[in-house]
Amino acid sequence: MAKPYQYSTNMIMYQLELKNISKTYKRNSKKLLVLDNINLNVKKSEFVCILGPSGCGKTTLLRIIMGLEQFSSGSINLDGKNIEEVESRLGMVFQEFSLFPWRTIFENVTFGLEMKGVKKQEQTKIAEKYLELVDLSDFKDHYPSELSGGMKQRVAVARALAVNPELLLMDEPFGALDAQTRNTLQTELIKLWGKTEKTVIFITHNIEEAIFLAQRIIILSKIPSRVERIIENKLPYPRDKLSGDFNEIKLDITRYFYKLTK
Amino acid sequence: MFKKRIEKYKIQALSIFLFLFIWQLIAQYVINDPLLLPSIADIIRAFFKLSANIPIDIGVSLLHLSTGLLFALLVGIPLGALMGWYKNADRFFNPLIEMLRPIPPLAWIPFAIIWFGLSDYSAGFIIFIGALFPILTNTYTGFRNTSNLLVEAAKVLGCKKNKDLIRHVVLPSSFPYILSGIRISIGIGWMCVVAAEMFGLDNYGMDNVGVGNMLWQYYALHMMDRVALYMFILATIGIAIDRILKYIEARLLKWQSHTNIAQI
Ligand SMILES: Nc1ncnc2c1ncn2[C@@H]1O[C@H](COP(=O)(O)OP(=O)(O)O)[C@@H](O)[C@H]1O
Ligand SMILES: [Mg+2]
Repeated sequence: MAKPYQYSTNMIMYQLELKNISKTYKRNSKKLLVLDNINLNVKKSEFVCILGPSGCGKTTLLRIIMGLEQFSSGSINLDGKNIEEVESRLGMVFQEFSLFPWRTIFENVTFGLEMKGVKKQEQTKIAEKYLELVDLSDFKDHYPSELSGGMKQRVAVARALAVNPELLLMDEPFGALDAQTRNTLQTELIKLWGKTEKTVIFITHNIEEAIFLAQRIIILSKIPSRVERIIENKLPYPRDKLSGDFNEIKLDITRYFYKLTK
Repeated sequence: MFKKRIEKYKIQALSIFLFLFIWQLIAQYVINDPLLLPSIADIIRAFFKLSANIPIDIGVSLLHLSTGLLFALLVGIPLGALMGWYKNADRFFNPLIEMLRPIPPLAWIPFAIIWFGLSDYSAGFIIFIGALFPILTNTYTGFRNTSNLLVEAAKVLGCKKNKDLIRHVVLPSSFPYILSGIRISIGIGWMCVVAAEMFGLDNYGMDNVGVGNMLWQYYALHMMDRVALYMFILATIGIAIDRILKYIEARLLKWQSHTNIAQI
């Protein structure tokens, strides 16, 4: 109870704070430095994209925030509190398809609610609401194997949101989809974000995707990853990929990336 | 669709009919000795003579099978699960299992008789030995093959305790392996029935009954048409059990995607 003021300023400013996060993987006797002093602050309801070349440590960073992976040094705060092992205040959508194949779409969405011990009636209400939001109400009794890739990831988003996390982590969720489906899902995600006002940290290696989605783009270097540049993206939503402003930013980042990965 | 189905059964029926027909010809005109090779007609005659006893024989043998199978599942599934989930349990039990597995179930008959006497339990024990390993290894494999991604997805959704992860992720994900393990166990258990009933048993107080038992009894009397009849019964029941289980499996696993190649 000593110094309440010092904490409260931070709590108002940032929902998530990463301070000097470093991560070294040790395999046999070899050490691999993946993350090198990453600092990142995210405000409530913000949409942040982390953009970096393949293999630079984006998934590692997200897994660390989620509490699925240990970090070597630094600290992470979520709403002023340390994160626990597998943080229950966060939701996550994985890079690979991760639906439970033995559960129907509906049962996939209620999984987290069942674990929380939410009453059956309430579960149904919540699941129906989120299935409606991702436009999959008609498929609620189907099994994941009957769905296309894009539909599977929409279910994964609904499943993550159903437990009402404070912040949603998304690891290249549209990476495995074709360009058209990808475009549709990006538009839907922005709409969904507008409706739910959830904080989103979205990982991608696709420059256009980052500009289309994010208010702030964090550019990571090649491995070992450092934060190279932070871009404030003030383009109004919904964004137009064909507009001049959009392509100006795109060109800027593309040039920067080219130098970075050369 | 329907026409194709008839087509399919036509070919299957033709196969069986040709086999029986050639057998009849060879038995009747080439070998002509019912001891060496009873003819189909002999076997059918035997069937009608014994038809009153056959359901009881089948029933008793199925009871032996169920006893052995029940214990095989009670031991095999939990042990396979334990070894699949805990590295140290795997290390501890693996050498024992590797050592016991190569011993043919029939080699256990002497000890089965010493331990359980000439009782239904010794038959059950032989079947237990035969049925144990498939269900054990299948459960183990199912646990080991559970995708880490799904386990992490469950953790992220608040399913964090071992017991919950096993119940809600690992068991359902292993279900296909466990079901086919049960099917293989039943198949092998049924094969063990003949050996398990080789010596006269209590047979639940009914003496001379049981498919395996009767096969040996008629062999002792050199009534080979009846021996062959009981072989047919073993085959028929074996196929019937397998079909029923495959049907149940397909019903329970309707969530699986079927991406196997098509035969041309
Ligand atoms: N569990 C692990 N053990 C050792 N090295 C790992 C592990 N996971 C990832 N790596 C290595 O860390 C680097 C970054 O991986 P990752 O975070 O998956 O990159 P990205 O998601 O940006 O493509 C890669 O070189 C990868 O080989
Ligand atoms: Mg990745």
